[in-house]
Amino acid sequence: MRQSEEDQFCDFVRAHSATLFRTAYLMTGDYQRAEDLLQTTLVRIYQRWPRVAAMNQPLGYARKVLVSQSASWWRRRSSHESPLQLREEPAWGGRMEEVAEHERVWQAVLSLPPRQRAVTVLRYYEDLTEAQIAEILAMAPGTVKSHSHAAASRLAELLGDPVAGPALPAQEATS
Amino acid sequence: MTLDQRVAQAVRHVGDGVAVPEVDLDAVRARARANRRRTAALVAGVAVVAVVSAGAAVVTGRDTSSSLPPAGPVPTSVSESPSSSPQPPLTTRSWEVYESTQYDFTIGHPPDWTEEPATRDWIWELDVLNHLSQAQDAFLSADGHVRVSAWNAPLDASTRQESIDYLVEWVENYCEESGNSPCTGIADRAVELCLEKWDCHPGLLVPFDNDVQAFFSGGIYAQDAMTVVAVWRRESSKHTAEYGGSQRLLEAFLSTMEVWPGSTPRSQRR
Repeated sequence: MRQSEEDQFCDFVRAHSATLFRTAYLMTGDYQRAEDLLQTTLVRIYQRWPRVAAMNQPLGYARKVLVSQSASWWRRRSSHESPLQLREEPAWGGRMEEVAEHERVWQAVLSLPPRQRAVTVLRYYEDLTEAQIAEILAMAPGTVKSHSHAAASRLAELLGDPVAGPALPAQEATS
Repeated sequence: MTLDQRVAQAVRHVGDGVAVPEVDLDAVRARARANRRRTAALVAGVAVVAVVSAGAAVVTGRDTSSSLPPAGPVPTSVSESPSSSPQPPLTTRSWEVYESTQYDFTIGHPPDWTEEPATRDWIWELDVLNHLSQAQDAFLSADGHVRVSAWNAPLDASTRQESIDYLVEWVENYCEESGNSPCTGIADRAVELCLEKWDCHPGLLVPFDNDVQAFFSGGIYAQDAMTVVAVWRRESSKHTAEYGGSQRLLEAFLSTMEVWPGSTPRSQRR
């Protein structure tokens, strides 16, 4: 790789590694695993950097690689939901109450099956549309919709929030 | 506050609050270099593996396990050579022939399957992670549960070689880039293919955890592309059971393209 391309890659890492790491952390819920995911993603990007740099949205490609690597990790794990142990809500008022609420919701998000969690993270943290999520997760838009609805139903159930409409049946991915 | 707002706030709170580690760029470069060395070793044929761990699980090209493999590296040795599907080939006499205007090849499919023609060329950066890409010529079973697709992935003609080692290296890279698994032990579990009845240009059929795919280039096919044909179901999927498994179904599709497992007698290549 030429020096100018090396410099360009360093700039890309400086500008986007924090965003990518945060997404990795939200996907996995595991700090160590998120670090590994980020590094693996950057290695892949580095190996193809001249072509990635020429893309309109190198960050979009990086996000796609990261989610794909994350998906490989899901496949090696059980796809069942992890047991949920909601923490007791502290009795403090004000800001602490807000933090406890976030923590309670986050624990519920963590208990979702991997694909439902991925859809939730990409929707609520990355602000991506259904079509963008479908492209990143290599799913049909209808499957994204199903996962999204199933996640909302599960979260509503865990957090004691009524959900609008019946839960859609989870759709089997094509592969 | 709605559930949507609660989730959005919590996810942002956690995401924005997590401490971001510093990226070690030297480590990134070192791993990239190590990957290249590993690939180069494969091409040179240096990495012929003969390590057998006592009690290690055996992986063959006909894995019919219904569960996903355990975490960790896949054993890189086999106790028997991978082979074509053990059952007699599926008959394809009644199959319909599809002519790909996008990629200039013909491929057969069962008569009640629907065709989804590719709408553009396959581009590595856009499509390698998307097995539902519109750049694939795809065929969907009547019940909608099985999808088979075929496409050409561009190759650098200057580096292309007509050899199994080259195919293994290409498939390993493709496997990693597409997020498929396992990407190790490909040479051990792949079934070697012959393109054309007489010449036998090399190809590979590779079972992965969640699908079975075939790769070939040259002969009557493009020299500057890798033709890929994939059944997007794992070997043990209940949806391909009626065809005798995903591999047998893939072999039937391949036979309509003049591609057969190397073990198929010439008299049966038709």
